[in-house]
Amino acid sequence: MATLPFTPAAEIRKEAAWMTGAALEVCPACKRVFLISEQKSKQSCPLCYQAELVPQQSFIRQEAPEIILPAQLKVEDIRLALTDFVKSVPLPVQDFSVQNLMDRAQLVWWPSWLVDADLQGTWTGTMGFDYQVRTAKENFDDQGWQSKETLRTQTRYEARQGTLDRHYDNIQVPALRSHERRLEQIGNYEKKTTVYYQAGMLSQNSVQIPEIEPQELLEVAQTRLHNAAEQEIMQANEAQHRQNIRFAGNYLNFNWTQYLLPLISTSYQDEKGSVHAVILNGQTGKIYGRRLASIHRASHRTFGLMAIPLLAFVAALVITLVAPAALPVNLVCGGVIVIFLALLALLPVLRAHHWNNRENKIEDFN
Amino acid sequence: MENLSHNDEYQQVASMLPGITVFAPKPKLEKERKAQSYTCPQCGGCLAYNLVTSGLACQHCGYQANVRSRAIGPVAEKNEFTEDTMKQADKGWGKLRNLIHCQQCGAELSYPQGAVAASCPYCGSNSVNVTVSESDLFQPQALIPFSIKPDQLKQFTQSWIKEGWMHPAMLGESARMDKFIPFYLPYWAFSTDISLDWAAEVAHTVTERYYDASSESWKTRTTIEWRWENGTVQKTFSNFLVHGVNAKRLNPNILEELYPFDMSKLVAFNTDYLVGINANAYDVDLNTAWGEAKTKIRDEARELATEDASNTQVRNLSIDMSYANEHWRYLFLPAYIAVYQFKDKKYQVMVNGQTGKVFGQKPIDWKKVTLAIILALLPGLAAMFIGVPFVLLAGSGFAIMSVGLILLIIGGIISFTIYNNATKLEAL
Repeated sequence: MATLPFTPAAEIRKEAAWMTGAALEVCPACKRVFLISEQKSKQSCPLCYQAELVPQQSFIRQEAPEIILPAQLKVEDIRLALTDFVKSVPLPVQDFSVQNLMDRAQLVWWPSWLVDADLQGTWTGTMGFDYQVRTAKENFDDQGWQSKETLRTQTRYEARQGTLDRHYDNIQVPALRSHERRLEQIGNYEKKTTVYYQAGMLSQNSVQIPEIEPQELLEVAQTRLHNAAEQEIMQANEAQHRQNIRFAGNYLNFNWTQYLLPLISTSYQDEKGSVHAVILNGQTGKIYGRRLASIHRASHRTFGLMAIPLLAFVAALVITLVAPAALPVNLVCGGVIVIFLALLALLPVLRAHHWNNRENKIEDFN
Repeated sequence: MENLSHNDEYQQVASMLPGITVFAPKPKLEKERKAQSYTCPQCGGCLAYNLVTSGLACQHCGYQANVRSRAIGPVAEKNEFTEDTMKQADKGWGKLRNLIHCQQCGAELSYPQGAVAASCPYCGSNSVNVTVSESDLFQPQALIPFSIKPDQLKQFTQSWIKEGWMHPAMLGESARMDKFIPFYLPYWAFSTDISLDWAAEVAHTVTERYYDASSESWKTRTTIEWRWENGTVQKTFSNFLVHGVNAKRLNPNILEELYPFDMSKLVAFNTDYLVGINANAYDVDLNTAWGEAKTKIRDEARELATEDASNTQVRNLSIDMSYANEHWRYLFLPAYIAVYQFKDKKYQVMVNGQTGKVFGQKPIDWKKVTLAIILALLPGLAAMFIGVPFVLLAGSGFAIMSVGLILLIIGGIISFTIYNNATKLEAL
């Protein structure tokens, strides 16, 4: 009997049996759905911070996560990463401080699907085998020819075919539409440190739930299984390269589970009152977010600095009155100095504007 | 799965993972390595390659058969300089053959099993003995079949033997070349791309004006100015031939004079072509032959660099050269070899079995050469002798002396050239 590649709809329920005491809530702004512990219920969305979460009436898959990747960042690591993130901003907005970001930091788990399946069938393809050939580099000069033997690596491609009957475990398939973009933002995760999920591991934390159901992902899953099979076929051939591998056969015994990845989320408010999210890879600490400089603080500093050319102007005026004979010299020198200092005074506001223009090109995490 | 196991072109090979089977194409040479039987299906006699019909023929009943021919031309299979390939390269002849060792010149000749060698084609010696066949020889990958028929050889060699005036007048009549032995000679054919970066000081002639204080006037003069130049040159060498015969046995100059061969006529190696025909295993191994090829390539690289400069007059030339796509092939190329006797001395002659080009050793008639040198010097000496009395007695005759000197110089150059050519021809 053929196995359904996903849980039938009848078995999808409203509550998650694997995370007791958690409620299903949705962010009206970003539409992300979370399993939220009771203590954090109805708080701001832990990822976009644009709205408060509201209870969700939709269904949830019953499969518990199979494996999770523990967050490996310690508090000090987070502080260090945030300090580096904040320190290069010229005159940051008041709310954008390491302490504020630390105070609001929270651990959020985001999902990815893991697929197990059997592949049975035949394959054909072209395998590339590296080999070395003897060659030479030669030099000619006054001393005559000098020859140095070297080795050059080349690849020989040969046709191969065969049969495949293998089981593949834990092939990762995106559960979020923004999966690839998120990895671009905070970098990849190293899967080596994963642990099997145990009940209670995620209490007090927010868990984002999959946006894409397995039935929509069959083609993607087959592609990824095919890639894994290609890798193994190459390994079986002891080849270093592969081309045009085609598999004709069946994908059987699908089993879908979740794989949860850690993410640290925090936020700050800019001068206009908009909230910006900052996220960190919970394993590597790679950070992403928009860092805005304070135009108000920069303007104040510019006004403060304008006092210097003003004083210089007054001084030049006094000297001119005291010694009118030197009027032309005073006018030229004083004018140049005043203009120079005035331009210098504009630097803080110009720099802040330039910084924010650059940062605004970075996509906000929302 | 069943289709795979029944596919004749593939065979199962080792897989490094359970659950995955791997099938690879069967090696192509498997069939050709099997020993072939050349027995006449009509009378049971021996079949041999017939140079007249270019097919197999029975020496007893006249039965004829076509050879298994597969023209491959210049795209014949190539080998790379890999250690694996060298080790795995096919060995043996494809048919059991004997190596016959000549005790006089040391040549090792491959003869069909059971054949009786009457004489060594290199030195004419009758003393030959059979030695154990070597097993570590590469198998030739391709060959060019004989195009020249044995009955054409007399015509080619007769016109060749009459060429040149330095040889004895009786040579054409006395030299008997009625016994030409068809022979497949071993050659290495190399192909490679070279890329060379060169730098050199190149001579540029510059005309400049200067003030000559002695004549108190402005003059012009030409000087050489050396300017640094550099460039990159790329060239492809295709089928660069190096013979595989020891220079002690066959004169390399004779072998090289047999070039060129038309490589478009290459056929895949097939023992049919060798039945009853002599073939010489290579004496010069692959590395030595490749070394010789590279020496010639280096010479050409220097010429290429010089030609690439804006002027061929260069100094402080330096070249960085690299090779790419190096390939080699082991070929059998056809030749007829004959040894003729003239005044108790033996001379070797070879004919390109594809083009009919003849080259070989010829005796030098030193009397003729001496006479030619005397004749070349005579006009100059005569003019000098006539001029001397005129100068001594009449105080005139300098013009005759000058003409004599010029004629003597010309005669000297001609004499040197004649002597040089004669020496070279004798050295063959």
